[in-house]
Amino acid sequence: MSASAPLIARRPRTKWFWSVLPGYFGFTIISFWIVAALTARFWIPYSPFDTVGSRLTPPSFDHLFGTDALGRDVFSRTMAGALYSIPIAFVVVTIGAFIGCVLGAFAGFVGGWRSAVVMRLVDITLSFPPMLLAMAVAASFGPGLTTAAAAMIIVWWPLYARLMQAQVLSVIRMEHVEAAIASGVRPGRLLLRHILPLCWTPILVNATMDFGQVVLLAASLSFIGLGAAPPAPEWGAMVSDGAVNYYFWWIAAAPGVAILSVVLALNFIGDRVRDILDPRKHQS
Amino acid sequence: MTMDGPNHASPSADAKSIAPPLLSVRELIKDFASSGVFALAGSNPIRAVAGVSFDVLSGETLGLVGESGCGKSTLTRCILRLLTPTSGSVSLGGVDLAGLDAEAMRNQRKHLQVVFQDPYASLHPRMRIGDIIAEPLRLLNLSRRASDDRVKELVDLVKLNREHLERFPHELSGGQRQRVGIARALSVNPKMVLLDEPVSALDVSIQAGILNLLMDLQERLGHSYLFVAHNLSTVRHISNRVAVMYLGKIMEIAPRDQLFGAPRHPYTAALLSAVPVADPKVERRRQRIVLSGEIPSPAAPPSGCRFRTRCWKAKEVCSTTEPELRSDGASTFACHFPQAS
Repeated sequence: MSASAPLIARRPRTKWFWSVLPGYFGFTIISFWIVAALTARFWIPYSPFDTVGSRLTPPSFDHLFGTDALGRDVFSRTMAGALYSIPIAFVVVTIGAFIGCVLGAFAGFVGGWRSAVVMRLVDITLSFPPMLLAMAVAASFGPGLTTAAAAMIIVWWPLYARLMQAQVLSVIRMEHVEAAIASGVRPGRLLLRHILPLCWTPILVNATMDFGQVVLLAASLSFIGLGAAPPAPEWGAMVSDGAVNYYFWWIAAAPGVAILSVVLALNFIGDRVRDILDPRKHQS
Repeated sequence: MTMDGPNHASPSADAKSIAPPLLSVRELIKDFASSGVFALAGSNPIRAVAGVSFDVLSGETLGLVGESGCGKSTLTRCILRLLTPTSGSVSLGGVDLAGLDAEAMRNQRKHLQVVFQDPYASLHPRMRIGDIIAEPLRLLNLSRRASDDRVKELVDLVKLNREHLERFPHELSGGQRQRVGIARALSVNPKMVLLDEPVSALDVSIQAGILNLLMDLQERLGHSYLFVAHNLSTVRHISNRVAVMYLGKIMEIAPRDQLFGAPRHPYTAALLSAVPVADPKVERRRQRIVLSGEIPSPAAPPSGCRFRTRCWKAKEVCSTTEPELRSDGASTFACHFPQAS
């Protein structure tokens, strides 16, 4: 080996580039949709609710993505639709993760029969296919965005409860927790200060990944008529409209691509978050 | 590392007969039920600690040695009530810890603290050093200010820098972290400190510093140590008396010089003969006792004497009758055929 050869081989710069690219790509797309959700009402060319042109016109300069069966502008409706899908996903993941974490941490920490009650409830909920359970719950509550969100929370919390319970069980066996018990730390403080701070990583990764799944599930519920009520420009409902008029491809294309881009972007971000937070990745 | 003995006065023999022991462990037993898919109903539990009794006097250091898996760590965890003993008693200053509920036990923890083996694992990775040391102080209900002052005092005591208080454990070296562990244990001024192999995870160059610090602190503050280790040299350095454990039972307890000078139990003799001597001439001529075999499973200990399967002196009686602990001179040992004193 010559004297100038580096002792440690560096990871090629190009490889690094390709490993972070999807993350930035996803971040860009999500940023776009968040901005759209917040500001679309100010810059979309037409009202998303009203008939603004002739029915079923193909894409043109007047109507970028065409018009639907009622003569509404698909571009305006797609942009306005971000205000439905993204907040719903955020609310469902946040509340679902919160409920799941509280119950899971409780189950992992107290153990015994109280843990068994929570975990069996988790098992029962998880034994249903998520789509089927969400449909059943949403149908029994009656259609609407709020009930769809409630149904999705009911489907979603057990995943977090199980994850959190497993995390707490593994952290509670660590020596510094034993040291804290030996120091006379009370149970509440033990859980909040000594156990939970080391439990968040997988929860955060999972929540990011699930975001896309929730967007998809919300769209699915709207597609079968259990989500947003008809005039609302929800993406799933718009795809459903397009499915009825399937000769006119542009009605479903724009909201379909919107769903695809959001789900894909969130999955990319989830992967990137996992890579950043996973300590094993840094050792390689 | 210098291995001259403790320079503090060892408790004298007459003090032993007058003062009641600080920590008194009696017939302590800890079973672990064997579990898993292949565990048969009614299969033997694993008896990690099989009836251990000993006393620790006020201000003394009792060394506890034994090879890996002999139940040393289980014993310390039972004393700390991190595990609940199956039977037996642990009394600290006259209070039986084994029978206390969680709240009463918490109140006793200001008298009983511990320094763990691994200074990397035993400190909360996301807490600042100052907060880690202050954690046991909550037992005393001090004001914020008094607690801060106490933490600064402790940092000086264990010879850390006050700048370290704002750091996180991963920013410290192994020796510094173990000093944090010691400061945490001493923060509430305990009467009894358990040292669970406090130096075995450290570099040899740092071990002596930590051992001397521990001895220095004991001289100043007057607490007792139960020093658990598998390294005989460190035990010899710090202990007043030494107990030798094998497969969940105590084989021999004796004052340090007695045990190292004239071991009575064959197991003790075998352990001591495994310690290398620093002089190559002596080392070459030295007679070593080499034990054959492995430590037996605590789920199925040998009949009679637990050590007989590896003992070169074992006779018929060893497999039928379990030797009781008996005293002869300063030593107490459990053997039918002890070494000459």
